Amino acid sequence: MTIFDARTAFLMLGLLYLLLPAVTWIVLAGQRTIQIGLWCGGGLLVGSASILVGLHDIVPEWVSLILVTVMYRVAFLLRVQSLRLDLGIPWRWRWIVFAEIVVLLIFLNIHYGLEDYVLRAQFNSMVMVGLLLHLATLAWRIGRDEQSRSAKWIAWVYGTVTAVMLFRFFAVSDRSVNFNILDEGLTVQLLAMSMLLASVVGHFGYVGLALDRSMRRELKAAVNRARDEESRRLGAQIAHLDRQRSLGELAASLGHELNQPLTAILTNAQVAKRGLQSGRFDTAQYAEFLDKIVHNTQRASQIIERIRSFIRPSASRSEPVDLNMIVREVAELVADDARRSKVRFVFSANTDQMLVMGDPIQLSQIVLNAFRNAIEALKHTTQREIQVSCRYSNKRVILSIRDTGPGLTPEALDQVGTPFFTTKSTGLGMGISISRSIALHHGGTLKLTNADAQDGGGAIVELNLPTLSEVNL
Amino acid sequence: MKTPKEYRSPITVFDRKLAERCTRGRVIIIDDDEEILSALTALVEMEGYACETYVSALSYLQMLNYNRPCFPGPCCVLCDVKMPELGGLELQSRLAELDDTPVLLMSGACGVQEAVSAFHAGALDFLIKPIDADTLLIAMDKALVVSAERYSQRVRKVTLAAQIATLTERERDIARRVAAGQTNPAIAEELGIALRTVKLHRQRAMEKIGAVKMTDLVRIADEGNL
Repeated sequence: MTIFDARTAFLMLGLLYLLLPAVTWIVLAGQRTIQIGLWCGGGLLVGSASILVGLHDIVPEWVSLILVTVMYRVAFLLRVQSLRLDLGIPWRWRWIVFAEIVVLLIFLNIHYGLEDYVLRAQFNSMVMVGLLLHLATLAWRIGRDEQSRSAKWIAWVYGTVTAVMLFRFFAVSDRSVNFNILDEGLTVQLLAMSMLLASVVGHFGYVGLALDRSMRRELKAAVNRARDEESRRLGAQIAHLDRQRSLGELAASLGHELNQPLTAILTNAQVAKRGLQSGRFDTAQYAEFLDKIVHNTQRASQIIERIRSFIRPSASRSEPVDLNMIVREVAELVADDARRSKVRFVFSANTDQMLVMGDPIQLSQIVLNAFRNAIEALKHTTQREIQVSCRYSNKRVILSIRDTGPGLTPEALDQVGTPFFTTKSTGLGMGISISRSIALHHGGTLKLTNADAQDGGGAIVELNLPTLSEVNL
Repeated sequence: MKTPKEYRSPITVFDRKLAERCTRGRVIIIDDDEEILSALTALVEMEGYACETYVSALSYLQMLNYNRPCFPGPCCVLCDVKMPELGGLELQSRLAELDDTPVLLMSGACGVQEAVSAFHAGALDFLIKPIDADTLLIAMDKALVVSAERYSQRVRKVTLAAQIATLTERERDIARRVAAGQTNPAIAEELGIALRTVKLHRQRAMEKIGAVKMTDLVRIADEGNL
């Protein structure tokens, strides 16, 4: 029984199998992966093999018989490997090669050694059944895992091809002549048809699957981006709130700080006024008083500017920052607090520029946090010093802030930096974790340790940042 | 370099002016802010007082150790409360141990607690920065008056003690009894001496300590620990 000419069918099948993988490859141009490459490569091999089958009797026997079987097997091995890669359970390539060689050797042995052509056909069919069944199972798994209808379609069509192959296995058993595959009649017709179906459905299904995936990937990426954005925004907000909080706590002393220049201004102005009333001063003296008033006004506005710039919720900047200058500015900010607590700052002699790349406000926040913790820690000690040193070490800038307090307890050392861990009754426990995330964001680290007991003890905060040149590289 | 013994500085016009200012009053200002120091100095000197400034309480205490000579006159200390190392309140308590110089405190933030403890420790006034010039000058005047009063009291006590030291034992005894309100006959009877002798001793004692009337004697006995 012949529905159509088997030779034509195989030639058409071959052309289709050459065309569709190429189309698939072009359609999926935007997202080519090794899996898609393997899948399309397998398709091309099937196509070439099918054409060779169609050219049976025209090309030499070893080509149409042996090479074709090898090509089919390799083609479906590639497709199986492609799906296995998708599932994350790839076979080792050397095992694939080894298995293929073993199968080929058995095949050659049956063909040339035993010259049992039925057995050869059965063996061949069985190997193909195994491969195709595996392919269908893998496709089914992907369809189930990713809830993709396309993958299930692939599974269905390859399942059909498997069934036809199984049918062929039994169909060839009662023949005992050296037959031509093209003369197999119904079997080969069914086979060609099912392969035709597989080629169309399989490739469209595969494109659908890939597009599904890319869509899902994009969605996921978009969700992740949104989440990152959100967490960064939240992080910035928390950092901003923390700055506001620490300034709020400093407010009283900042008021006093502001009072100093105001006092000087008031007194100078009143002296000048009194001098004017009594006519006792000359112009040069007035100029001097006015100069002093101007100077102190500038001083006051600097204090306000310092507070404002610290509290402003600005977008994260990245610019060359002198760490030494930041330290000095923040020391000014807490100067009054330190004075009230009778804490003395000891700066290392090195006052050169220590340039790092970063956001000056955020870096100030780290330093402010460290200073305030240190002042707090020094409340109950007799020697009250904060030693600040800044040095280069191995292309890093290391800022070390050490107090002469009691240091951290082992439990505190263990847990410090965990959000909401605090040793203070009024603390939120966010300070160090915020500082740490800022340091991380700048490509650096923040380390808390205790100084040696023989050295006097006390806590050390060490901020380690890449130098400017290192960032540029 | 000359040794202190050989060294005698000549009296200059500046010294004379300074001496003049010092008789009006000497104000010691302590604040860690140099801008404030210079402004306050200008104000105080314009009003004709002598002015000394220190950037920390410690440096003032160190200076006191050297006992630098200065011209006589009333004196007061104007000191900031919040300073590194040694704050205004501590300085006040240390000064109280040394002498009776009146202390004015000034502070930026009005800490009620601070003000209360300052007044408890005997501060004359507590000024809130920024300080109005008039308020400061009034407070300063008051402090200098207190200083002058304390000084004259001290002087009177010293002279009184000297006068009392010239009394004989008997004269002193009788003067004490008179001040306590005993009559001449009662004293004579109690001591077993003649009324005339009592009157004589009493007259001499009153002359020696410069008392004209009975009330003078009573007051001196009260003040001078007769």
